[in-house]
Amino acid sequence: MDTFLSLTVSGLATAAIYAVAASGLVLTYTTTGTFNFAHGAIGMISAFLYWQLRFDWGWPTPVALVAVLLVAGPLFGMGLERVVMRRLEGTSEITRLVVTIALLLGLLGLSVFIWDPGVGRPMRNFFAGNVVEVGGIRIPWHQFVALAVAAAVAVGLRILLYRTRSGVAMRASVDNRTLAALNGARPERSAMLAWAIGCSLAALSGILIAPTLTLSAIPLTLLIINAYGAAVFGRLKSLPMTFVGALVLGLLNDYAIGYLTELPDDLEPYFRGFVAAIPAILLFVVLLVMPASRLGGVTRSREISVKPGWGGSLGLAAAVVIGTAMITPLLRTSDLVSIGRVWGLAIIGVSMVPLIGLCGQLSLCQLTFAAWGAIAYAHLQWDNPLALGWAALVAGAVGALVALPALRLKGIYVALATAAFAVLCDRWLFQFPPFSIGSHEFDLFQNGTLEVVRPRLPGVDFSGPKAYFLFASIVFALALLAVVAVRRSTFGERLIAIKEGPAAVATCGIDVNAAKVAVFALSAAIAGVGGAVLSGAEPANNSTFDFVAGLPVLMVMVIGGVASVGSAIATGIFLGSPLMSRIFPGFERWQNILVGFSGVGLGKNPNGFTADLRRPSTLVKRDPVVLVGMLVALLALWGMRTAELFTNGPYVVASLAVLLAAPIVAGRRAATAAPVTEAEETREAVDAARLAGAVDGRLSAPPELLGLTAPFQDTDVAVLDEVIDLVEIHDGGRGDRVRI
Amino acid sequence: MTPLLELRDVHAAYDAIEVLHGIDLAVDRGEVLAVLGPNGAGKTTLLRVVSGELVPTRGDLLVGGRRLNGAAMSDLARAGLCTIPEGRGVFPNLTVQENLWMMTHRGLSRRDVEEAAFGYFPRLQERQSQLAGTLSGGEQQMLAVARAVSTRPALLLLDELSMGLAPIIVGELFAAVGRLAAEGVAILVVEQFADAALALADHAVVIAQGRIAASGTPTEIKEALRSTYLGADTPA
Ligand SMILES: Nc1ncnc2c1ncn2[C@@H]1O[C@H](COP(=O)(O)OP(=O)(O)OP(=O)(O)O)[C@@H](O)[C@H]1O
Ligand SMILES: [Mg+2]
Repeated sequence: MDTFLSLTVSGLATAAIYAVAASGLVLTYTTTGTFNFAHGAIGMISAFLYWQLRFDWGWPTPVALVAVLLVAGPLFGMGLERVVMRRLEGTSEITRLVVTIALLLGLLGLSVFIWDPGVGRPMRNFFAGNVVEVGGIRIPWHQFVALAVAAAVAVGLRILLYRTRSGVAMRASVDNRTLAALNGARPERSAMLAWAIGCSLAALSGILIAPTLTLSAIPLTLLIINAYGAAVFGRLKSLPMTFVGALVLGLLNDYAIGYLTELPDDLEPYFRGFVAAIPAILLFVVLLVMPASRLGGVTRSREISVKPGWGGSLGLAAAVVIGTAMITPLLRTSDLVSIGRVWGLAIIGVSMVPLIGLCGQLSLCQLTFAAWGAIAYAHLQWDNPLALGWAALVAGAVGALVALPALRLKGIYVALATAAFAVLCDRWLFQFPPFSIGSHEFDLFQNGTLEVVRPRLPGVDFSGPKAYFLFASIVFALALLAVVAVRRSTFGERLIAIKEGPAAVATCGIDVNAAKVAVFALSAAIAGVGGAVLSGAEPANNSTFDFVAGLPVLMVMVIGGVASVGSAIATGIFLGSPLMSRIFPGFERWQNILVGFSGVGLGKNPNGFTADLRRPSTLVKRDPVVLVGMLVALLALWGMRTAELFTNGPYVVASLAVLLAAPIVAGRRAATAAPVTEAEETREAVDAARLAGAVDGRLSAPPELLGLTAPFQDTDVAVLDEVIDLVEIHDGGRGDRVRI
Repeated sequence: MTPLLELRDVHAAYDAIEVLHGIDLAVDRGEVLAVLGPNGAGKTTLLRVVSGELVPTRGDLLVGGRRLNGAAMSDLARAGLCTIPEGRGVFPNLTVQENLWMMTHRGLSRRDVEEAAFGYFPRLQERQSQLAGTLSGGEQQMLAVARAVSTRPALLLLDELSMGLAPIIVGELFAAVGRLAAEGVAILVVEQFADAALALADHAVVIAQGRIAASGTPTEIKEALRSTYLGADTPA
């Protein structure tokens, strides 16, 4: 009984901390419509800051608290609103969520940068050592502190939102921003206030929770993320329900800690990770019982998806394989160790294109799908490349399973559900000791790293490091082509339609649910293949595939343009190879900061930078002289490298320089080129001018009045062609280029 | 004397689509101007420009002789421009009282606002602590108009006050608007149903396809409209 009571008290204290964290999240979400995924990271970095002031520099506790909670936290929140969030006006909820994920990554990188993770940083509880005895139970003071703080937050928020005009104005701008402004309210002030309070509450929860573990960036961030479950309990709207959710979460958590250790020895190992997974499980369950969201209407966004042509895609796939074949002999085996992950990661990247890019389902568990693929692949121990099919099958089945709950959800809830699934697998399922079903032994992560056999075909052995690297590039090229085929098919068009207007699609008699399950399964299957390929390249363990490891992959894809297959190559090279750290020494420390903060700038260009690469690549493709010249130059460099005239470093830099120079030269030439035929003259000049940036994509009149109020200009044709993405074809008969 | 509100060759667009193609009009202090026109003519867009929600792409918006292109909506509201937007202009998840609290932005106390609002619409008093979203359509519109009667604006912009309401309620609302007009508040009233607006107006304009198609006294406009509906020449 005493155990039960003291677990209840400590559970209440845990609940109190979760309530503080979750209420900050709910406040910013309701007032600004942005789900701040970085809430946990803000709490984390605040805890570090508090440690710095209080324990490292020895400031008095109240001063340090004021500095973090009333100065740093609110300032950070207001800055965030002013610099980042305000510019995201008019972007989709998903884009805004991705920006906050980027922020999370950036803050993680920043904390590691400032506070070396190798150093231990103990943090003491408030009033450590002081204990009260109530009815035979010993209660530490810090548990009272947590409860008192949560109560104060609850009362404070209630007063703010219902008893002050600023608070009422905040609620009013949630209801109707425009109307609030017509009432003289300044909605951006309400948003700023909400961000300031939200960040301050995140900081408060970070400081309260940090003493329960040694200060460490990722665990602390994830610990605060647990509170998201409580927020979803209140449907991200209701603060009272959020507190109830926190209560359930906190009590479950502490009872589980208390009672699971009493399980019999043969069961206990299976529940070792269970406690850590409770918030994820609760989140999953809450999302399951939540009323299904209705299909949304048409959403207009600034995000576009360009249909890739077969010619270019085959060229790209061939370039990947041929390029790899050319480069591999130049690499030392030691290089291959550091570069081996490129294609595995690229495959996982390309798996995001149909699901996230086309269908708009923000999955945060692609690496978990990859893990299931890798596990299946390792379990099979078959040295035939077809074993990858098995990996795809298993991962695809897992994907379909995850899709089932996701069908009922939309927007950020899909992201939360998939994140919960990822965490559930990381912390619990993948920690399982070996077990058997029937007579068959299963050993998921084999207590460490996965043992994979590399593929072998009659006459071709891919098991050497160089051969395997080439093999991986072939698999990536195939995955890329598969995704292009999907994008070009009716199914691909449907996926885009679902992203843009699910309700409209449903009324056309298309089964939205079936399409969603299919795309989840497809994407998971590709990710599974990626996981298998990755685990063949380097020893993979649980942390290779964990939730946080998946965030940079998603971010680089999004920064590159998650609807385009090209960004998968960028993802693989950027995250899987030492290219960047060779060019910029010490890059690893900067990687997450860089990725994170470039993602934060996404609001400006939601289509990613590969969209900007279309013009240069079109320029080069159109100019045979430059195209051939570029290829010859690349070959020549390769020849010189093979002849050992220089080392890999200069070779890479020189090749990049050639790739960069080609479009610039082509642009110059196009701008000054003589027209080929009379008919083409104006078109060519216009294209060249446009590509050279002379025409900035503006029509000379509103589209509905084009040709009515003023003559139809050639620039208008060019701009409209580009907007609707017309393909240029050659008319065989006259040799004229026409557009259809 | 400079007019209270003046638009000079105002063009306005949604993204690249221009909706207003050069509007000129003026409202003097204490004057009531009725703006009529078919669906999609650009009446709401015109009010959006005046209230600051939409910045004109060309031309000038002048209030009291000052050019105010691009001024923030909230600043215009604080300066005495009151807009009752199309549809129900209330915060559905706030109580009636809280809705009224939001109307104190011109420096009035909560009590003054409530007194004025309940004076005009006693029905609202009984429903003080009810969520505005649960009020009937007519009551919601009364609550919206309460902003006009309690904030003492210099210029009132009304967009389709009568939309979806029973004639009795429309009468009650227009009676309140009439009292404001009598007290000297300048009003720009947009209506599909011309009669109620014309009865109140000192001057009227017809907008069609983003341009002023006709302008004149209420009687002239009434005549012009009648001839249009009877298939005669479009008003010049
Ligand atoms: N937010 C918007 N985005 C794009 N176009 C819009 C938007 N709002 C209005 N329009 C277009 O602008 C034109 C004028 O619309 P507006 O709402 O001003 O007309 P209105 O005269 O108020 O019509 P009604 O009598 O039906 O209220 C219409 O063609 C409409 O489709
Ligand atoms: Mg209208």
